[in-house]
Order: sequence, then structure tokens, then C-alpha cells
Amino acid sequence: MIVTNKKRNTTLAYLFFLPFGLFFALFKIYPFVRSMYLGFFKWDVFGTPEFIGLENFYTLFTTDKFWEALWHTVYFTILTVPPLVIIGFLIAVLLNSRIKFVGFFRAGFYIPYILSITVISLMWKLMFNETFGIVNKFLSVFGIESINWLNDPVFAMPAVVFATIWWTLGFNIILYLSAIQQIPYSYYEAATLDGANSWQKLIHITFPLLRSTHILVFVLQVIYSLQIFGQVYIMTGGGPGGKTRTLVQYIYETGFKYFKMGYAQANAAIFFLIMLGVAIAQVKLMSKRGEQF
Amino acid sequence: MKKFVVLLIVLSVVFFGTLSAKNTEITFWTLFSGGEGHIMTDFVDNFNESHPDITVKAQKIDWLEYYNKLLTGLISGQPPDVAIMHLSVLPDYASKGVLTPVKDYVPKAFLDEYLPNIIKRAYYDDELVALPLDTHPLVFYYNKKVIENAGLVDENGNPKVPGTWDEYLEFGKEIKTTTDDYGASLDKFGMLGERWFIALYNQLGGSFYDEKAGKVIIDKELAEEVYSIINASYKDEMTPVTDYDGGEALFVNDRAAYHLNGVWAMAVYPDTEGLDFGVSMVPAVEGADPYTWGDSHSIIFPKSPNQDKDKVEAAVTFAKWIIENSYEWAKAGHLPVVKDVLESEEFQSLPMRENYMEAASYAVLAPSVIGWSEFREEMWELCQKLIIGDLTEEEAAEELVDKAESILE
Repeated sequence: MIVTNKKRNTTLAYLFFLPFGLFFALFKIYPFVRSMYLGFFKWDVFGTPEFIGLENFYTLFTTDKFWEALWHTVYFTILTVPPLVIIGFLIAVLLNSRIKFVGFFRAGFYIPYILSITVISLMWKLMFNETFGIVNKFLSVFGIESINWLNDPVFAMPAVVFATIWWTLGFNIILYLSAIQQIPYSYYEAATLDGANSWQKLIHITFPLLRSTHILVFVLQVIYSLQIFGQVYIMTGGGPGGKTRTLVQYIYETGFKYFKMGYAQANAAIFFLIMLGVAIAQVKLMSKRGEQF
Repeated sequence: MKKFVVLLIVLSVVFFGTLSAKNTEITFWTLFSGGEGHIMTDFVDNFNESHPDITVKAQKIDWLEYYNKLLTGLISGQPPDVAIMHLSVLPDYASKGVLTPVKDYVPKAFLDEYLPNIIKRAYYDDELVALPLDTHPLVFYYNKKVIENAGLVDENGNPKVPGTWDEYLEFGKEIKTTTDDYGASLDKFGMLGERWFIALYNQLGGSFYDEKAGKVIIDKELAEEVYSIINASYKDEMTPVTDYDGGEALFVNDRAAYHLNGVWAMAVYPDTEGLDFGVSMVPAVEGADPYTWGDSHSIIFPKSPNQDKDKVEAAVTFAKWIIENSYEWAKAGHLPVVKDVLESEEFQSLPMRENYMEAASYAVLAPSVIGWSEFREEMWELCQKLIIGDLTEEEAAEELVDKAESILE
């Protein structure tokens, strides 16, 4: 009796899984496997793929553009991850405290995140304009000379980073805020009775108890940042002189613009391995110890 | 009675069947928006009204996504019957055998009307695979207010417009020193590294296609000379590094005197409030013909599994009709490429066209080679590296020669 029940349950479980599983297999697993497979072929989209072994990978590793794009991607990640995690955490703490208009602020920090990538990119492109942009107008108040933000090899990437932080911070704030609200209030009460001030409570209660949230936010952020494409593409076009071209842009250009599909797939395979490394690190870090309140 | 009903049904099926068969429906993809989009929509409406036997269903696709969609359509066997394609990228598609050759569908007299420099590029491997609709060359805009502000006027009080690149550099620098405005502005991508480059390279006597070698070869010395003219224009802050929108904003807001842009800007500038501008052919190298870069919107007929002779015929009829009426299209700034229309009163009466219509004959289109889409982006990037000081003129020229060799077939 128990056995049949179990069997029925398993069948039922698979049935429930089927609708999702079907689409997942069709639109994720199949394209993924095929993409990996095509990395070993020369293919111009229209003709029949021609097997060339590891040649795509060899070309990739000997092409400066690939290494430059990889570095720009890493550089963007290094510039975006720390502020997005740290500022996200601090603002979440502030938004959790009893300040006036807290609803207004919470909404205010989240609203940029719901805007589309095109909207925020074009908006910041206007604001970073050398002659007419509000950023330079603002800086000129402090006597800082005009900077040609998006067309300067040094400033282009930081400008995109700034826009990205403004745009995506809200998501991290939400993650932190909901985690902070799960910390039982009694902990703070006990600390208050022992005479702890707000700073001590933040350092000794809030921060350590959010350990798994820190890891989650950090890893998610690394994964998002590595995939950078849209903002850069719209704001700088990868320029000036290719100084902001990222890996995803390089994959897009070689595949869809120059019809070198196999080469683009090989590129994507390397990119996947990098992401896989990050994901494994996350699993390792998170599984160490869960938090208990 | 029963027999009668059956007969009636059969008859009606036959009758309505032939009725609908007589009307050929064709799909048409365009990438035009704004002023161009409106003209194209009117074209389609008017054509549908005047041709009861053909129904054109137009679909507008955002130009950023246009070629991706077209590519997907071609791969999946569901392309439109008619579509727009720039002649500069035609070889990349024609070489894959996805375009229908249409020579047998077009009368020879119609083809003879075309400007030779344009129709030449509609052929691939001796097959006619596109019908050019227009050419949109690079031209030279000047902002009268900025130039007058700098005191650069001739004896008649007209703002000075450079006829040569030497004058261009001289005037531009003078404007930058006497006023706070820039001497010139232009987009740092296609306009700079590809269009301006092609204009200068051809004015200096260069040509891309080497008949003897049967492929594209870039002359290093000439490329270096081109780069030295371009580089000089970015010295002393005469020209800022900007993208397309930024360069245009400087020009229309009276902050830049000269402006290199395509003729399509004529769809916007005449109606821009407060802008007092003129347009001319691009300056020339001393003693040279005013060659300029040009591309062309052409009409193509993608191959598809359910294509038949009727559809191709209908599609070509539609394309011919648009081209014959392209004086309407010229309102967006583009220049017609068939002599009938160029000489027509409708076209000639459009404002300022006489100042730059000659550019149509001096327009140099990208060479018909596979890989141009990739090579031209290398041109953009090399030139950007030049003007931000990453590469010297010689290094940039050297790299360009190498890229041409490794990318172009």
C-alpha cells in the first residue's frame, strides 16, 4: 500500500514537473548543448557547420580583442560589486530604521530598477554629455573642468559603472531589507538592555546574522556584473577605441554581426566556464553553515 | 435540389477561389522610422490603392534589430517577400545565396536609368540581386550663426565655407580660438573611421578594390595621409570626440561650426527651430574631385520556401513603383539614383538640393566584398584609437592594411 502510494506520488511529481521541464529542456538545455557542440565547428549561420576541432579556441586565445574584452568585463565587475553590496546593505539598514517617509524612500530607491535598460542608458548618456550634460554642469559649481565622460578612455567605464549602481542598487536593497526584517526583534531588545548602542547592534547583531545574505547578494552581483552588455552598448558602443567592449558584446558582434557562429559559441563556452566557477563557489560558501535565529 | 446545392457550392468555391488567387499578397519589412517611416507608410498605402491585384503588408522593425530579425527570418525560412538592405552589406547576404536574382523581372530600360556607380553595386557574381532606391552620401553642413560669430565672413558678408580640407582645418581652428565654440563635430563611429575615411581616401586617388589581385588592398601611404588629415582636425580641441547624438546636438545648438553627416539629416535640420544652416558637398583635397562616401538603401527579394513567380513579380512591381516615385522619398534628404527622378521637377523643387545633389555621382560605395560588416567596425575602432592618442597615424595605417588582409575575402 505504502509502495503504491509512493509510486503514485512520484508519477504525480513528474507530471507536475512536466510543463516546466518540457520548456526548460526545449529552450534552455537543448540550445545550451547545441551551443557547446557548435563551438568546435566553423559555421556562417546559413551553410552546414564544418568540424574544425579546437581551432576556434586557439584563435580565441591568440586574439587580443578577446583578452581585452575579458579584462573589461572583470574590470566592470571589480568596480561594481563592492559598492553595490556595501551601499545596498547600508541603505537597507537605514530603510529599516524608524525614519520619516520611510515608504517614500523605499519606493524611491527601488524605482530605477523597474526602468528598462534602454531608458536608463539613454538618460545617463544625456546626463554625461560633455557640453550639455547635467553632471558637468554640477561639477562646474565646484570648479571642476568639463569631462568628456563617455568618450574618454579613462572615464568611460566608471561612468557606466555609476549609472549601473544607480540603476540596480534597489534590487540588493530589497534582498537585504527582507533579510534584516527576519532577524528577531528580541535580539536587539536584549542588546539594548545590555547597553549596546546602534553601531554596536549593527556590527555585532545585524551584520553577522546576515552571513548567507551577504554571500547570496555578492554572488548574484558577480554573476550579473559579468554579464554586462546593454548599458555599455548603448552608452559607449564599446568605445572609445574598444576600451569598454565586454565579453558579451564580443560574442554578440562575432556571432550576429560577422556571422562567425562557431567562434562566438566557443567564446560563450569559455564565458560559461567562468560563470560556472562563480556558481560552484557560491554553493560551497552557502552550504558551510546555515544561520539560525 | 441536392445536386443544385452541391453545384452552387462548387461554383462559389471556384469563383471566390479565383478571386483571391488574383490578389497576390506580399510582405515587406522596413527599418525606417520618423520622417522616413511616414513616407514609406504612405508609399505602401498609395500602392495598395492603385494596385488592386497586389496587397503589400508592411512591417516596420526597429533599425537596431533589423538585420538580426532579417537573419532569423532567412534562417528559419520565413523571410519577407520584399525587404530593405544597405548595399554595403549586400555581399554578406548575397554570397550565402539567400537573395533572388531579379534581372529577368526588370526591363532593361529601367536599369539603364540608374547612375552607374550605384547600380554596379547591386550585382553580386554578375547576378542582379537588389534594386537601389536611393543613395545617402556624406555631405557637409555649416552653422551660419557660429561662423558669423567668429567673424569668418567673405566680402559679401556670407559665412565662409571651406572648399578644401586645408581651409577646413584653418577655419575650424580659427573658430575654436576666437569663440568658445568647436570648429567641427561628427560621430566617432561610422562617420569618422568609415565614411570620412572613404571620402578622403578616394579624393587622394586611392581605391579599395585591386583588379589585379582580385581583392581589397589598402594603400598604406594613402591611409596614413588620410589619418593625418583626420588627426589634425582633433588637435587644439577643434573637434570634440562625440557620438552621433552628441555631435548633432553641438551643431543644432550653435556650438559647432561645421558638421559631417549624411544627407538623411536633411529630414530634420530644415525644420529645427533656431537653426540657421547651409549644406554643401564635402571639401576636397586640393585639386581633387569631391568624392564622398555613400551607401544606398536597396530593395531585396529574399528567397523563401513558399516563393513563386507571382510573388516575385508582384514584389518587383512594388519595388519599381517606389523607385519611380522616389522624389517623394527624397523629401527625407536621400538622393534619387535614377536619372528620370533626379531630373524631375518634383525633386528639383525641393529646397537646398541643388547644393549637394551632385554628391550622388561622386558617392563611393563600400566595395563588394564579404566581411565588410566586420572590417568597417575595425575602421571605426582604429580611427578612435588614433584620435584618443592610442595609435600613431603610421600604426593605425599599418593595422588597417593588416585587417583588410585578414578579414576581407
